[in-house]
Amino acid sequence: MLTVMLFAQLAEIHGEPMMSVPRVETVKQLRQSVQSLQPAFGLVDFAVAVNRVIVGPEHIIEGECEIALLPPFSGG
Amino acid sequence: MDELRYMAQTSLPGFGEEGQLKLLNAHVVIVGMGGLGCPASQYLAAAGVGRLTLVDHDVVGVSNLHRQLLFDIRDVGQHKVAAAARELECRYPDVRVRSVAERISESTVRTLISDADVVLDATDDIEATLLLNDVCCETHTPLVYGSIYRGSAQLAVFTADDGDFRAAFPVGSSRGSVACSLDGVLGPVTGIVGCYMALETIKLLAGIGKPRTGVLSAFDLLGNNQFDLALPKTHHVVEKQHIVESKQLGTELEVDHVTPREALQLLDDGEAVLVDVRQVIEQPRSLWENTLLMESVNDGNRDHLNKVVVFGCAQGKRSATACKDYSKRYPEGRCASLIGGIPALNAEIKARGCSHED
Repeated sequence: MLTVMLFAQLAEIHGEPMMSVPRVETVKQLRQSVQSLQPAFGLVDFAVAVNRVIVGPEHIIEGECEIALLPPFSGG
Repeated sequence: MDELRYMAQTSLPGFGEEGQLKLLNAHVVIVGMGGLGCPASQYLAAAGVGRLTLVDHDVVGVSNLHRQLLFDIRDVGQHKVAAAARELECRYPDVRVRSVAERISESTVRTLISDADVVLDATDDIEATLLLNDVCCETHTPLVYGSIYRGSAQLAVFTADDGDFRAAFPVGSSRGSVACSLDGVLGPVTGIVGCYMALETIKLLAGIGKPRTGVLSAFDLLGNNQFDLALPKTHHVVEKQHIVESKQLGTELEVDHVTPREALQLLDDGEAVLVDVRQVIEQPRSLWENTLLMESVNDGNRDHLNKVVVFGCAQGKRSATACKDYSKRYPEGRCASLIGGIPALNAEIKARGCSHED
């Protein structure tokens, strides 16, 4: 399993700031996986960071890593 | 220039008289004069930045005063940029302030930032952020970005070379969050981020320290956490799985809620319109005199897109559904469901002793 940190609206939708997701190979698959677990994530745009680097859909998720999902904020 | 005024910063190693002159000769454009723009403009003016252009179409509301400390009760109803310019020029004689009381738009943005050294995105509107991001990349102007969601904040210096907003966020149709006043925010949260934005601007202008480029900082100010995420230099494209309709969702769509007190404040400030979603025969009728019916947001009139649309019903259930429908129809709009419905709002109006009933 992968442990994914959720920020802001994503944590509120999920009800807690961490989410367990079955291990996947790519960030694209991770996006599909979290959205199947929480369909409302499909309403929020968010960045995926692996080991504190924002990565694209083709990025390979390997070994132990820190994964975070971060939506843009727009309050000011 | 009054040298004594800036002595504390000119004596800072690496800043000096040279840094001060760079500030004096600089032009900074601040878009958004709310919780972030107020502290940012104040610190930049105090530091001796020579020219500030302030852009905001909004007027000061009573509910702004707890976090927008440039304003006081006498400014309520006035354009934020005018009130801010008056205050800043009075306190800081070396700064020339231009106030632009209009919404940033595709047709005006290039002229507004044409000779800016740095632009600050202090808006509460993701469309404005995207517009500023794209034009700043095009013109190679650094964009200092700050934004708030409740007790959390984001901060970055976006540049065309080291990563911009679109490199961080593969933005499609995000509704983003509604204004801070509805999401809820503590004044110091906006103050801290506004000060950070001023600091990043001074660093860029004076060439001191390490600019916060190539990184998006995410702060959880209530939980005492900070994450610095490295930005890619290219844009990612994320394919949406499908257009998500609320009916297809296994979970309920998020709906913003507003208490009767918050709703009344927004209505008083002219920042919101109230829509009663009940049948016309249902009692009690709303005591807010300008209460609209559902038809007014369904008849093609788009005036309500400038305001927060507060939906009210008998208890707060139908209004939540109305919010979801409204958000689907107007993804760019902002709306909230009135907690406790129209009866709770009536009670609040009566409690205030300012009933709007004829």
